Amino acid sequence: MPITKSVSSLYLLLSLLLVVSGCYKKESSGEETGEATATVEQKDEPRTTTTAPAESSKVDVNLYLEVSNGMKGFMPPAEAGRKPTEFQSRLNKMISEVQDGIYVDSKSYYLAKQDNQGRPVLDSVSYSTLKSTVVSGIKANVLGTPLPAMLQAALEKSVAQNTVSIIVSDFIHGPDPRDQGQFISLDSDIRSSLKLAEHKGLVVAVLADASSFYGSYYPAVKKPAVSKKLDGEEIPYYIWVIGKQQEVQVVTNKVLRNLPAQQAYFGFGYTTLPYSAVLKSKQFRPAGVVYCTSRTAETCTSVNIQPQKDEPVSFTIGVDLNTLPASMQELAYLKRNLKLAATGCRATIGDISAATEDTKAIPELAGYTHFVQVNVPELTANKGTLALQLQQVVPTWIENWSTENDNDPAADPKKTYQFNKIIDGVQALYRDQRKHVFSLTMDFNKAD
Amino acid sequence: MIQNFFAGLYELILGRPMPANFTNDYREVVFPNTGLQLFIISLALVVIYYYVLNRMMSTGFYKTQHWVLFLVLNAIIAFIIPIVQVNSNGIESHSYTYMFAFVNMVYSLILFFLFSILLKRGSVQAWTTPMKWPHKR
Amino acid sequence: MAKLFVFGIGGTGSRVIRSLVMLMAAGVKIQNCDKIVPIIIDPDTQNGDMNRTVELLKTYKHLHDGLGRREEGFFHTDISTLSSIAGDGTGKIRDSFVYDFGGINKPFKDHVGYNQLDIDSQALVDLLFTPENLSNSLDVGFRGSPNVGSVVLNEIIDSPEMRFFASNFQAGDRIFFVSSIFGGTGAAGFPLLLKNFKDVHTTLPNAASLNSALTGAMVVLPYFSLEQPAAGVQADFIDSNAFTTKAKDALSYYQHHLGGVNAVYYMGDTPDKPLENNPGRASQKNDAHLVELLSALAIVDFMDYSDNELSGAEVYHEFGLREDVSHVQFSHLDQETRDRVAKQLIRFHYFERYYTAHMPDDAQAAYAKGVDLTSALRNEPIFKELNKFLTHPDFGYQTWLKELNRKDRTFAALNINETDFNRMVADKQIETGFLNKGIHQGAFVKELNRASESISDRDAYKATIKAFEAATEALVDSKLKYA
Repeated sequence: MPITKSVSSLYLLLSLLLVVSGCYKKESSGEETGEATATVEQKDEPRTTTTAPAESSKVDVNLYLEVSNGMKGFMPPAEAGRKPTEFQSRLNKMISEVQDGIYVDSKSYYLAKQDNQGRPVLDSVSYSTLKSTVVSGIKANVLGTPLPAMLQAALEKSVAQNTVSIIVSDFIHGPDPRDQGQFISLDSDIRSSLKLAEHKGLVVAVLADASSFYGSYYPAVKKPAVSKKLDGEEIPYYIWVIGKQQEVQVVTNKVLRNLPAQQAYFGFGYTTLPYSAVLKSKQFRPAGVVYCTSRTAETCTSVNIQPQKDEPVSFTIGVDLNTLPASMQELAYLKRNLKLAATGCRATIGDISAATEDTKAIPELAGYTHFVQVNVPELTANKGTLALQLQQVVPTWIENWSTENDNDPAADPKKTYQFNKIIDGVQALYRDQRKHVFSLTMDFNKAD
Repeated sequence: MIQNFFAGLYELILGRPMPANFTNDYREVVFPNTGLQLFIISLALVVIYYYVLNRMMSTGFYKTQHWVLFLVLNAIIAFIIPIVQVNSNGIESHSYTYMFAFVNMVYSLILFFLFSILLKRGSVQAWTTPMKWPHKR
Repeated sequence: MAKLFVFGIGGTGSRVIRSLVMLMAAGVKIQNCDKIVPIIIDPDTQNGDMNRTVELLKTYKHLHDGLGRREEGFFHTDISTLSSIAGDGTGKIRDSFVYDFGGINKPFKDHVGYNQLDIDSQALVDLLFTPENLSNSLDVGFRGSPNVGSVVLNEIIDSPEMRFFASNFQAGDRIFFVSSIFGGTGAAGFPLLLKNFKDVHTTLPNAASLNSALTGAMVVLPYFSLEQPAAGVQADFIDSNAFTTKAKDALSYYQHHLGGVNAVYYMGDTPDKPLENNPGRASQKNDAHLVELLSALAIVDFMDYSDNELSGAEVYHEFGLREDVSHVQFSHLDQETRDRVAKQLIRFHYFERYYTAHMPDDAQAAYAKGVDLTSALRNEPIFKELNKFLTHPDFGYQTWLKELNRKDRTFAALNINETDFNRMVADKQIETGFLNKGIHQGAFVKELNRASESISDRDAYKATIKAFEAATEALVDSKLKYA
């Protein structure tokens, strides 16, 4: 009978529906709770930088202070009526932080000199000796600084002891007069001297500042004067920090503090920066057809997009650059150096903004320090990538602080002889290894 | 599969979800949920109308006007479901939401009619409501 | 199977058949036969009672034929005309329920050839018949004059109709006469026909079958009186004062000369207010009377007996009510009678009430919509017939029931003006309450829909009648709980 038949099939249908109806709840518990990870350039990535928590751990420090005659002017003996030089102030703070601060575990202090053969000598000294040297001046007579040799010696010692090197020097190359050819090959010499850093996967942070200088100044270029008596003119000095990336960051961020404006970082690279496409926030409303590939992912690293002629796609990627060196976090720096590498589409970077109080108040946005708008007016393939990349760039101040003639610091202050060449040498270490400080890849599919 | 079915069903008329950034919320949650609820509620109302009110209970609600009443009730529910779905899933309201509600309502009319045609023969009191077709007797 | 030939003789015969038709319409079961052949014998071709009975019979026949052959239910009993019972269609007689007298419109005097008689014979005739008898035209009947009737009716035995009847009579068929004992046609016709059928020397075909046929008779004793004409009006009327005298004479005659009847039923009542005195023609159209309804039951009763039960000695039946009440209800009938008719009449009454009052509103109900009842009501002639049967102002069921209520002794079992189904049956009302509304339109529709579920007919008329049968049965059983 047709009635009973339809009734029984009705029951079947109903029970089927009841089974099915339980599905499709919005799943708020993320399946992919893990932080988004930038695609690592794995193939030539020997260095294994560990992640953020280690930043707060303690580091071992070897501090090297160059004590050639040229450094004496930074550390004039104390004298009534005269303030300590900036160099002294900074050094004092620094060494006391190293000695007493909570971020440094074991520490060793060395005075860097050279012997009569022009070979570098590293004298291990106590904290009090070092302190008195900074405060009361250098007693010994050390003629020059064979810069590559000194760097190499310091680095070898630190690597052997597995510590971070802090090298304080004026970086005025003073090779043995018998070996003036070193001036020609300064960049490659520097590179050679630091090859250990390259092999061990260490990074270099260069901080530059200038300080009042009292006493004899020995320029690299000896003409017209071999030396000059200065009384308070500003002469540049440099603090180099060499070590593992995260340890270097502990030193720069926690130990040194109040970094000078002039900073340069070499070999820094971040493989694990948190980032995500920000698609559902009112602050960063996307335009055009764009949505996260995965509905449930906490962080969205893959989007589906489909720009239309009259409606290009524009959306925002939130990134957490908190672990980057401070200078790299500056908006202006990012605006200059952040690049977008796109495959499968045409894309440009739009506005970049830093986190504000507003964004910090929103849980989904609180984790990000910067927000980068990406515009995609056209796709050229059905899938591809958008990579936000921060270039490894040589800061412009390096050129400004470099000179071919440092003979008259009064007329041409804050310049170091062939400092750019020195930096070229450092840069050469990392040239082939790492093009970018970070590269955050956003996959995209053409939306259907 | 059901997700694709319902997403296809709604997007056929509505086009791509808007705002577009909630596309997969629509496709993976809202469309299938709405579709299933529409399906279940329409079926339930048809069953209530034909089998409870007009078979088990034999209330006097066998006239076309009563059937229309249920049709309208179903349509109202069908209009509300999408709006509730959209709001409860944290999706921004948009004119699309109301277009969606409207389309769902239209679907509810069709579905209610279809279920009626399929199931009405089992009703004693109302198998000719809203009309006799396709049954002969 | 067997047939029942019912001879309705005279005005009373017509009226009893009218009630019989109503009983059959209600589905009262006539046992032991599958076909009833009414033959109305009345020379008064204009007689109002006869004509509306004939119309009623025709309508019934349409309604029955529309439903087809069935064992029970409304209109299930087959009624045929005499001419249609011959399977081969050789009948050369008129297809009618009425015996055809062939238009005898001359005075009785001419009919018997009074003027051509010799003087002695004329003297004899003058002795037997009054001058009025002789000069009256015969087409108005015999006006309560059996002496005239017996002469004229004797001729019909040789008519083609009678021969046709006899030649189609089969063993097992039964005969029933309905006549009044006090009238003209009936009082004369019944003994005359009986005598001829039972005469072993009869010239009719199938004499043996006819002779041995089981025969019943309903003899209606006086139950009404007629108004006396005003003084000075010409005495062209029936004198009801003579009813009792004539009845006594006739009974006396029956006592000694009536043979071959297996069962005789007597029925009578004390006359109430006199009826309008219309001797014959169209104006003789008397209101239906309870006595006629009860007389019709005699036919039902007669058919209830098996052949064996009737074969013995003659039996005589009289009808009595349980109480002498003026408003007769079902409860005043004997249990046997009640069982036979009460439920059926109630169901038919429910049907009629609902059909006329509520069904027009049910266009959307499943039972109606399922067979497109609304358009069928408009277009199918059978529904016009049904309407006629129920509501015709002349012969319809409503009229019949109203007429039964007009007399001093009324048939008051069904409250005719009651629109509430719960109070339609006089001796049994349905208790209603807040939750139980008894029988109302909604309950009726529900039952009709439910009933129509199991009805497979697509024909609107058949399906509707069957639905009403089932629905009224369910309602009477479950709501009225009539037993």
